[in-house]
Parts: sequence; C-alpha cells; structure tokens
Amino acid sequence: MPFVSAPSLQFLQTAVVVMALCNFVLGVGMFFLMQVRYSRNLAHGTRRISFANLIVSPWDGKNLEELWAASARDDREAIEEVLASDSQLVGDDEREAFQSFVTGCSIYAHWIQRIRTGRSLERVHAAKMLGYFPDERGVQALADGLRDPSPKVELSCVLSLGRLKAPAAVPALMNSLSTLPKSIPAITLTAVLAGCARGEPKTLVGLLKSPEDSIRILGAWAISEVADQTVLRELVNAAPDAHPEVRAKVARGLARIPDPASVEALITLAHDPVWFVRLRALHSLGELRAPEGGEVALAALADEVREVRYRAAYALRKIQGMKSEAVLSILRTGSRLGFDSLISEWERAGFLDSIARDIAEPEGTRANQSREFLRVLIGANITSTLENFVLFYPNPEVRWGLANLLLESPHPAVLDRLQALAKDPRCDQQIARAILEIGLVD
Amino acid sequence: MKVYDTIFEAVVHWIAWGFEAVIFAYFISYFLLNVLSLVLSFWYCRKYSQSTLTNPIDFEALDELKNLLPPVTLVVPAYNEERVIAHSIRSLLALSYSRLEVVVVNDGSRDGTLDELIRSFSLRRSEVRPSGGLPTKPVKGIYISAVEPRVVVVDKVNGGKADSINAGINFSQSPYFIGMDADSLFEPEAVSHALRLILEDPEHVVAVGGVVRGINGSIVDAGRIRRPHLLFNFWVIIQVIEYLRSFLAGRTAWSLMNGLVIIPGAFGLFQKAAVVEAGGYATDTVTEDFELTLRMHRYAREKGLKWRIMLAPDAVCWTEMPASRKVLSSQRKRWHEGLLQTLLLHRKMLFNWRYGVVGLVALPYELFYEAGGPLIEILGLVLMPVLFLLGWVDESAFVVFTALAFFAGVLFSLMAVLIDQIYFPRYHFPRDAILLLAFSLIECFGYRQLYLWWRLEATWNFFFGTVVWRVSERSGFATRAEG
Repeated sequence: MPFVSAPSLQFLQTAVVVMALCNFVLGVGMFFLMQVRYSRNLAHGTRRISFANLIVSPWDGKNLEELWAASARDDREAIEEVLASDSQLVGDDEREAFQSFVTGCSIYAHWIQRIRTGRSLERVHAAKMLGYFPDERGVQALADGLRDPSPKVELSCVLSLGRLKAPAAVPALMNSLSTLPKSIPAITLTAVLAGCARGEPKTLVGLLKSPEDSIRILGAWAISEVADQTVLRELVNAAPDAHPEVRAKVARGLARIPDPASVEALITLAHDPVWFVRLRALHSLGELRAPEGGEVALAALADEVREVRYRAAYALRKIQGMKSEAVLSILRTGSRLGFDSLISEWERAGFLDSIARDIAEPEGTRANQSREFLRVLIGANITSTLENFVLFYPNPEVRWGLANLLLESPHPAVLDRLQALAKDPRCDQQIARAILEIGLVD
Repeated sequence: MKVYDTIFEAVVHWIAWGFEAVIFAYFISYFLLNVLSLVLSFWYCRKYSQSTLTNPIDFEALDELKNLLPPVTLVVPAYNEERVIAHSIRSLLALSYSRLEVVVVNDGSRDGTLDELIRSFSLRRSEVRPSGGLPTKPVKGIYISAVEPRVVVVDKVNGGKADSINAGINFSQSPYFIGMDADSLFEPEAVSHALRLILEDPEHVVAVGGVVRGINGSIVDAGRIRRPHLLFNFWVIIQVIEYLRSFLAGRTAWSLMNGLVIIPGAFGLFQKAAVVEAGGYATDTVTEDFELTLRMHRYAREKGLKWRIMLAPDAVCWTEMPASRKVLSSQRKRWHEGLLQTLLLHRKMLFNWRYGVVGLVALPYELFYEAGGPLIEILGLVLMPVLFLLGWVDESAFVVFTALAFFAGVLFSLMAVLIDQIYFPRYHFPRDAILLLAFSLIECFGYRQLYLWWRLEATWNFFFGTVVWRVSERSGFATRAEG
C-alpha cells in the first residue's frame, strides 16, 4: 500500500522536470559564460595593448580625440584604462607633458561633464578618471561631487581627491566631513585629508576645534601625519582634549615637531590616565630622541600595561641607545616585568648581539663594560642566548669569550648545560675540550 | 490472530509512514534552507563585489594609508614542515601588505623544520619574552632573524595547532593576527582584503575569515600563484566544488546574518584583544577554528558586546587539498568529530534566544543537517530501497524522490560555481569550466554517499571510540609547477 498519494507525486514529478531543466540551463549557460568571458578578456587585453601602442610619446591630443571619437564604448573603456595606467607609469620627466596632454583633450572635459550630469555609475567612473590627472577644473568638479546624492559618487570623489593630493580640496573636504556617508572609513578620510594637506597642515587645524568628537579625532589623526612647526601651538593646545583618542593622535603628531614645547607636552601625556595615550606619548618621545624623556621612559618600564612598558623600552633605546647601564638599573630594582619588556624590545633590535660583538674588541673600556654586563646577566641566570652564541656565533673570539664568562657562572645548571653543549658535534672542538676539562676539575 | 495481524500491520505502517515523513521533512527543509542560503549568498556577493569596485580603503590610490594601517602578525604553526616552511615564509613576506610580522611556531617538529628556518633566515637565539599570557606548552627558545627583522620563531614543546597559535599570539606585537596553516599560500592582496572589513567597522568586526581554495594543479612561482588551474584528480576537483559551495554559497549567507560559526583555520584574521579576552584557542578540541569562532560569539552575547564575525570572499588563501581517498577521509572524519565535540561543548547555545542567530539558526542547522544529517541520509539511502522492494513506497515516488535529491544536489553545486564565476572568478580556462560542471554532476554518485559513510564512522568514533588529531601528509607546493 503506497503511502505517497498521487497528487503529491505529480507535484514532485513536475519539480524534478523543472529542476532538471534548471540544471541543464545553468550548466550550459555557465559554460558559455566562461567561454564568452575568456574570449572577451582576451579581446579586451589585445585592444588595450593596441591602444597603448597608439598612445605614445610625443603625445598628440588631436590624434587621441580622433581615436576617442571613432571608438565604440568598449574601446573607450580600454583607452581610459591605458590613460589611467600611463599616468602612474610615465617617468617624472614626462609626467607634466602627459598630464597636460590629457587635461587639454576633450576627453577630460567629457569626464567633467559626466561627473555633473551623468547617471550614477557614469559619475563614479568620471570621478575615478579625474583622480588620475591633476587639474583645477577636475579638483573643483570632485569637490562639488562631495555633495552628490549617491554615496558611491561621494566615495569616488574622496578617493580621487586623495590620489590627487589636491590642497585646494581641503576646505571642501573639511566642510563635508559631517555629511559624508558613514560607510567611508575614518582611516580613508584621514589619509585623504593628510594627502591633501601635506605641506600645509595649518589648513586642518580648524578640525581640532570641532564640537564633534569624531571630527576632532579625524583632524588630529590627519594632522599627526603631516604636522610641522606651523601647527605646534594648536597641537599643544589640543593635548589636554577631553577625548583620549584626540590626545593620542596629538601625541603622535608631536613626534614630528622637534621642539621643547612638544617634549614638554609629551612628558605630560606620558602620565595620562589612559594607557594608549601614554603608549603613544612614549613612542613619540623616542622618535624625538629627547633626552628629557629618558627618565620618564625609565619610570614607564614599571607601567602596569605591558604594551606601555614595551614602548617605554623602545623610547629608552631611541633616546639613550641600548646601554647596558639601563638594563643593570632595571635588574637592580628587581622589576621582572620591566626587565622582560626591556630585554624583549631591545633584543629585537639586536641588543645581545651587539654586546657580544664588543667582547671580541681589543681590551678597553667598552669591551670591559660589556664583559661586566654579561657577568651580571649570567649572574641573574639569563644565559640561554649566550649559550646559543657559544655554539653558533660567527666570530670564534666571541665564542671563546662567552664560554669563559659562562664558565664563571655561579649556577651549577649553567655548567651542566655547557657540558651538554660541549658534546654537541657543532661545538668548536677547542671550546668543547676547555668546557669538559673544567667540568672534570669541578 | 486476525486482530494481532491488523495491529502489527498498523504499527509497521505507522512506523514506515513516520519514517517517510521524517525523510521528506528533512529533505524539504534542507532544500528550502539551502535555497534561502543561495539567495542570501548571491545578494551578499553581489553587494560585496560592487563595493570593491570603489574600494573604500584603496591602498593603490592613497599613499598615506601605508603609515596609518595597523600592523598585522601572521602566526604560522609548523609541525614537520621542513619541506615547505622556508618557501611559505618567503611568500608571506612578499605579500603586498606593508606592516607584517611573521611569528613561526615550531610545534616540537621531529624533522628539520627548525634547522631549515635557522639556515634560511640566519636565526639566532634571543631573550625575547612573551608579551601575552595565554597558557601554552613550554617554550624552548625564541629565535630572531639577523636578515629579516619581521620574522620571529618560537620553538616549543609539541602541543597541537591551537597551542601553537596561542604561543604565536603571546609573541605577536600587533593588534591583529592571522591564524593560518604553514602551507597556506595567500594571494598578494589577501591580508588587505580581509583587513578592509575590520577597518570599515573597527568597533564591531573582530574576526574575518578568508576563502580557502585548492592549490593542487596551479602554477606556483616564487611563492605566488601565477595561474590557477584544476588538477585532474577526482578527489581534488570534488573538494574544489565543495569548498565553493561551503564558502561562497553558504558562509557568505551566514556572514550576512552574523551567524558565521567557522572562521577557517587556514586563514582567519582576528583582533588579538578580542581573542585573548575570549580565552584564546582551545587545545582540547580537534577543530579549534570552529570552537574559537563559536566561543567568541558566545562571549560577545554573554557580555553584551556587539561583535561581528565576517567572511571576505575576495581574501583568498590557496592550500594543498588531500589528493587521495585515505587522507581526505581522515580529514573529514576529524572535522566531523570536531563538529560533534564543539556542539556538545556549546550545547547551552542551542535554541537559546540569548545567542541570537547563532543560537536559534546557525547551530540548529549544524546540529540537524551537518551533525545529524548522516544518520538521516544513510537511513534514507538504506530504507528507501527496502520499503520500495516491500511495495510500501510507490515505484514512481521512489524514482522521483531520488531524482529530486540528485538534481537538488547538482543545482546547489552549479549555483556555487556560478557565484564563483560571476563575482570572484579564479579559474579562467574553458577546460576548468568543463571539469567543474562535469564534477558537479558526478559528485552525487558515489562521493556523497562515501562522505556520508565517513561522517557516520566519525559519529561512531566520537561516541564509542577515541577522538584523535590526524596529521595529513603534504608534498609541498613550492616545487610544484605543473600545468
């Protein structure tokens, strides 16, 4: 007795037929889609190469216009691609001539017209193309495009202005910051503002006074990329801003201005209650290599936040160089976290390598200091890298020197490890013998 | 006696009817959910590919972005990867993203992985200490490179992939990290494509998964894919189709609904602070990627955080796929065991409104169709012919139902290939098109049933056997350049 009734079976049969047909159409369609696209890509590539061969120096605007006028839509796309790509590839000596050649053509006027009157996608495309060729008319059209009803056009205009790095667009960009679509990331706006205001950061300082947090943050971030002496006063004034992000960005910007006022502001920011402001301030102090920041950085090695301690170590390295005294003073204070941060950060910059190198130097203050420092490290049982150096350090004198120092270690475990190391076939035979002999005596 | 016969008959008929109803409901619901998933995937991929036409974070257009971008750490766990490790690291260092750090974690390899790294990057032992506190197996040594300051190697006692990534996180210096496999080969723009989703919404997006594709057969030169190509191997092409279906016609839809529960282990970009806050990778599961993603969802919901976990369909990582039945079955069994293990671990989330889309839709889907699917489908495969032979299922119904199941399977595969071809095409040669289309048809005969069997075996192992991590053999892509 069948349990599936006749009507539902019919329905299923229809479904099977429909699905089989769908599969068939889909399969055949997809095969042709791939075939067509493959041929199209080939054809497009070929056309592009042909146009690239036609658009060559010395550039003739009239020829380009004729070529453009005689071309179909696909060919025009290929021509535009060639122009855009050439604008990036052309040598510095020819750049100006090439740009004048394009901006002087009716194609450029066509793009300006399109960005104003075209359909949405055409406006996007025109905005993109205008971004490749600096010209006042284009910058103005793009600045006007920042108020376009389509978010995509607005985004294209923002990106093109960023590519052009047009200072004339800064006021328009600043005015439209609060109306631009939220989908444009802050990092993009910052890059565009910084690009446009490079050389004239003062044009951005108005943003620091905005009542909106997000705009002050953007402004401080953009200024921090391009800051110079002209914005020092504004940055210092913005240092006590209520928003920690603004303070952090201000600290970032001050790193670009070597001035006692910057250092003073940074030292204050290095004591900020918010950790990432402290971190940024310490980094900037390091960048400025300000001796006044040394003490602050040393103190910050005891910060409760690991990232801040690392940045303090960085600052210390930049300000004072990798001096063993700093390590010794941290070891003496017994701050394990501070020592770990310091040694980790400095090691990435080759600290122990440079110390080890010193002991191969002829007898002198530096070599002696390094030996003393290594003795302290060995005394503190920080030996794994030095043991490794005994095996692999390229300079045999350093290997000898380190082996001797390690043999002085008060920790029996170090001697045990050294003896194991001496049995390693990669160990220098003379060093191995010396280690084993001392082991036997002991 | 007659009464007994009638009752017996009635009971058997009711059981058979119930069984048919379950199979039918399962099939129809699975079909409808997949159709819905396809529609959403199409929509997401269309929207996504349009957004990339005018990329809001255009690295090529904006020079200044280089200084503003955050650093990213690539955490590369390596276990017995001597043959591929140096090439892998070099290809990672050649990625277009400028602010990269590579932390390689040698997870107690028994071959010469560490020696190969030391030799290739002039490494030396260093006193660098961990900057994070995730618990891991003991670290034996840290190595830094004299020639490539972006490379750090952590040598540790063997503890598995999850433990290695945790160790890598501890030594990373960036706010973002990428968890990957040692043999993953990223497309040059992969990192920036994945990072784009985070930078567009850094407050909420805490993890972004990439798309994994099969490298077998492609032409690789100097650590870069020069020409994607399909290897003419049954197991490989079947997996390529499966991956397309899984990533482009499935996970994209989940990503849209913030219900993505798996960030692939081969390519996942994470906000380090979020992962550390959620507790890092779990070392007691065999599918640590699935477990971590789920735990991050859980943590966010329980703490009232509006985290989003997304998929970037244009962030592509190429990886070697198992090219033999043995290795493939081992991998799939592991995945299935991991699925069951993780579902059991996070059973609290199932059907729990508190966990939103994940608790109410994504996990029930995983439970019924991924974990429970094999039981129902195998039952259907076995009992349908039996009922048909007993005459309890109409002949036409049996044929039609079987045909419907077959065509539905083909349809989903074809649609996945279509999404790939329209929005994110990688295979450009007509030969590859023919292979993909042909194998979409073949897949339903034999392979799907075999896959069901593997999953059933894994289910048995999970409940009555031992769950173990199975290691796959790799041939190493760096030397391969076949057409």
